[in-house]
Amino acid sequence: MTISKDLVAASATPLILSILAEGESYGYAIIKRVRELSNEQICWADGMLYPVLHRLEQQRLIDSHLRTSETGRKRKYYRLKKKGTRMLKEQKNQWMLVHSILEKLWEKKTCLT
Amino acid sequence: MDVGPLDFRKIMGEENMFDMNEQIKKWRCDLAQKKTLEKSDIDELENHLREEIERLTESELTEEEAFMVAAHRLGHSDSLSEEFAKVNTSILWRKRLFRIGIIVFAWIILTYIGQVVSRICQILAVFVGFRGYTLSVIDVLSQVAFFGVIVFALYLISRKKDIEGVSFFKIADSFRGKIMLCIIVFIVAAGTFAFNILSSVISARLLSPQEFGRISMFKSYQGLVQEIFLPLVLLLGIILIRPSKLRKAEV
Repeated sequence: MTISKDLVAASATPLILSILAEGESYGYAIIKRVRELSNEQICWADGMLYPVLHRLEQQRLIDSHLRTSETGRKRKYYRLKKKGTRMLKEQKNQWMLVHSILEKLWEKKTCLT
Repeated sequence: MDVGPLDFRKIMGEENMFDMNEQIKKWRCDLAQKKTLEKSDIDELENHLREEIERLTESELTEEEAFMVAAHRLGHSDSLSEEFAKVNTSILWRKRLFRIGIIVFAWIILTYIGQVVSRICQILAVFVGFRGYTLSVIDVLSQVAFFGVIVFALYLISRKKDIEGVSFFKIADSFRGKIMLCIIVFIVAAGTFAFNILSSVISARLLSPQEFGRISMFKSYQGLVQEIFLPLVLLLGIILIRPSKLRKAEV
């Protein structure tokens, strides 16, 4: 099963914010995490993550800093900001609402059949 | 027969060996050409590419295959640049402002060159034997003809699907290109300025004071010509480099 383009685009922000809520991370690790969590069902064109990260940074939801990793690589780490935490909460409520509505509707259907 | 190190390399097949750094360099160049990515963006993407390659080579892929797969997963340079363009709007604006600057420069240079053209026509007319108002008419007509040719040339270029102007802007985008343009602008400006003084001296010597005064007065009519034609040139210039057309040419 592949998720439609629109849904991938819409879910990118809450996904990234949620992963960063677990602690700071960098692009490659974020994509790896999404892949693992979704059992490889969500496959972003990897490069597309970065413009999204940069947009979130411009919106001051996250910030970034360069740091050299243990392996000697210079990585750009992203971290959730206060505004981002608030945004995540808001997004969570919205997604939960949509989720609950769909659930109710689909439950009814399964009862009928 | 000389069996040098070259033959040895051939036998080992080293000449066909995959050079990872070379490939990544090429890949970077491809992205850099898109102009919507900053250097830091490309660095970040390269880091990602290298990590993915590392992971893939651990799972039985050769370096070359790993590179191909990783680059493919990262996305095509066109779609990447499109996505980054949505975020890096400031780059686009800087670029646009720079292009407007070039058009203004072109305007100034064109007026200089137009003046020189009309002066040359005038002096030639004096040598041929024209006097009086005819000289002023020649002066104005030569400017009209000059700008007419420029407008027509721009029109022809703008009608072409593949704009020559794009390659010009590519030159202007590089640092060396910018310096070259500045030098050319300076030389043309200085040259035309010197020529204007020289031509005034020549026509003052050739003509009687009365006629010289008359011509000088008529010079003011040239202002009118420039005010009509230069905005036209400018307008065509703007149409020529409008974003949609540029984007098409870049793809």
